[in-house]
Amino acid sequence: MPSLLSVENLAIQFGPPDDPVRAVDGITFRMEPGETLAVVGESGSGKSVSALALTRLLAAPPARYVSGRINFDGRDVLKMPERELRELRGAKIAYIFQEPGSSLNPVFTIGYQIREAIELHRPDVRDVTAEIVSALDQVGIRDPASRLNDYPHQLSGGMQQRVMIAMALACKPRLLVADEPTTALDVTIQKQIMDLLKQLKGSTNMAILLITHNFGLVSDFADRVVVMFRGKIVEAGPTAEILRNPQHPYTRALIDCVPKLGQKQRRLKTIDYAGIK
Amino acid sequence: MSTRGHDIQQEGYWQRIGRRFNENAYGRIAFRVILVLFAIAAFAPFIANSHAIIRYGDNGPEFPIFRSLEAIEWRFLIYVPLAAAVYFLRKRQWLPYIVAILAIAATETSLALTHPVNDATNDRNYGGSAIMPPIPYSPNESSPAQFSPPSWQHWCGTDYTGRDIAARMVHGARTSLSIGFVAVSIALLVGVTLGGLAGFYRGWFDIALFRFIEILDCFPPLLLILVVIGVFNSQNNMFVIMAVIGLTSWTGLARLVRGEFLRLVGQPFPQAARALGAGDIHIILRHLLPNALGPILVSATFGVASAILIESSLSFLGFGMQAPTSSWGDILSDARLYIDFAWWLAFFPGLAILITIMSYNFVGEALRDAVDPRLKVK
Repeated sequence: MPSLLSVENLAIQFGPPDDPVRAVDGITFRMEPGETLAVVGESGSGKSVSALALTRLLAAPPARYVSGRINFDGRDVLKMPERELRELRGAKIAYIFQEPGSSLNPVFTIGYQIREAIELHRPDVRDVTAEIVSALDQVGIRDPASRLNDYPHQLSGGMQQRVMIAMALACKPRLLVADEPTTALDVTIQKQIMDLLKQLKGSTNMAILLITHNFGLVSDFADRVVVMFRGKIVEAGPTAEILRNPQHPYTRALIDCVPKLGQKQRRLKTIDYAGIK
Repeated sequence: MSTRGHDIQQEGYWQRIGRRFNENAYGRIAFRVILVLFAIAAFAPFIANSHAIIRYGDNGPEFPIFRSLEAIEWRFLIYVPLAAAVYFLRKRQWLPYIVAILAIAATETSLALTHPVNDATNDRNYGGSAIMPPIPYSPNESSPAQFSPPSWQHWCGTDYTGRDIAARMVHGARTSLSIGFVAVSIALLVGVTLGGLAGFYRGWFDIALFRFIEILDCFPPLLLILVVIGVFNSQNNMFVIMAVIGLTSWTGLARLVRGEFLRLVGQPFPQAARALGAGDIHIILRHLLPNALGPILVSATFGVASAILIESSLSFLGFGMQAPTSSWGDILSDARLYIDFAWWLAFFPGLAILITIMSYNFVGEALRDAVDPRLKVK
């Protein structure tokens, strides 16, 4: 059986051709339907760039897709014409981003924005309003019918992220790319959003690609983990195995950075890059 | 969960803007003032005319006012109610359209066969047997009463050939209001389109457009307008003047829209819309433009004011509308020689321009507040 998504030897460059910056340097990974994969790495390791590249959201130029293949459902994304890409985005691969507040259009109500998502990809839906209400209900927004006419600025950060998730799910995508979905939220809300994603993972057969710099989120959420460092995948495998027995020194350093419960520590650990390469 | 959509009230985008606009008292009043001004302009011949509306002569009742109407005024009088009737009756299938076509054919034939009678006579002496318009003077009708100050007879006084200023202003409202409105519409269309495309796509189009705008901006706008009018030898053509004012005043709008678009494109929500599968046109029209609408509207209302003033400068220099057509700017510039003893010549047209500009500005500000949900309605 073919994978849902397979990325082979993908490389993306920025900057002048004679002195390029390789943001993504030949990465290869696969995702099966319904699987949860976490991509872990620090800022600048190329994880967000890889995620955006999955539907060619990175504008080229300035980005250049130098080599590689992205196969989604048997089709090569890098060779798709713009029309097909628009049908892929949102309908089959949906995104949620880091800052829910500014990812929502400030001048439209949230009901209107979810309606927009449904109208873009599901023109056959008869009762759109009912669909919007059930989407909001699905992400745990209480009294969704009266929230429809709210503007993004009237909602808290956690509520805004729930609305983003509702928008992403409204078109029933096969893959949800969550690009640091909890980074802009405080810790208790982080927990709520991760619990929501976990619950949705159970109720839909949707694959989730979670991008994070936080190993703490990974352990009880992802089936498998990919660790990225300087544009390369340095380690990949089942979550439990990687957490128990990290091979690459960078992975080890990253895991050590997460403070552990019950352990007395004067200083939080940082990464000593000299020891890695 | 069993929810039916039609039980839930969802307010539409324009519906909400309309509601919020109406909550603003200044905007509401100013909008009505503008409507009244446009109504005065539209029905100018029925408000200021030396011919009676109804006159009882030897041959029974006559309607001399209608004989003096120009073809375009007849078209306006017939076609606007006709369009409204067709709009309201459009569900009755083909019947309203047939009636409309017949009415258009009848109007055009009779207009082609008849000519307006514009005799210099007036019906003011008929006394009780004639019903006159509120201002019983025509705009270009001279009288021996030169420089008479405002009185019950001449509400806004008379000028150097004894023409009634009130009558001239009522007719001049047509020129001034339509120049303000049409010129700004043209400027909006060109400026928002070009500025928006430049801000969204950047690249060579942006560079080329803005070098061109910088060149245009080097010329004083009035000089540019005079050159264009001179080249096309088309003074006294209201449509050319509107187009020229519009086509020379879009640069500021283009600059503004480009700046807004650059700022908005950098924010995450257009990217989020693209990730949902929205195309360029969808993003421009439904995400960027609604967010840039506030500053555009405010700038457009100032544009109306400046278009009216540019037209008056053109009239002043002798390149704008010339007699027999009058405009507020034209009346104002006629006043300059007599300003030291005939204050009313400048005061009333100036007041009319002031009221118009102020109303537009209030409407613009109210619209800006209505468009942005983050702003509280005053």
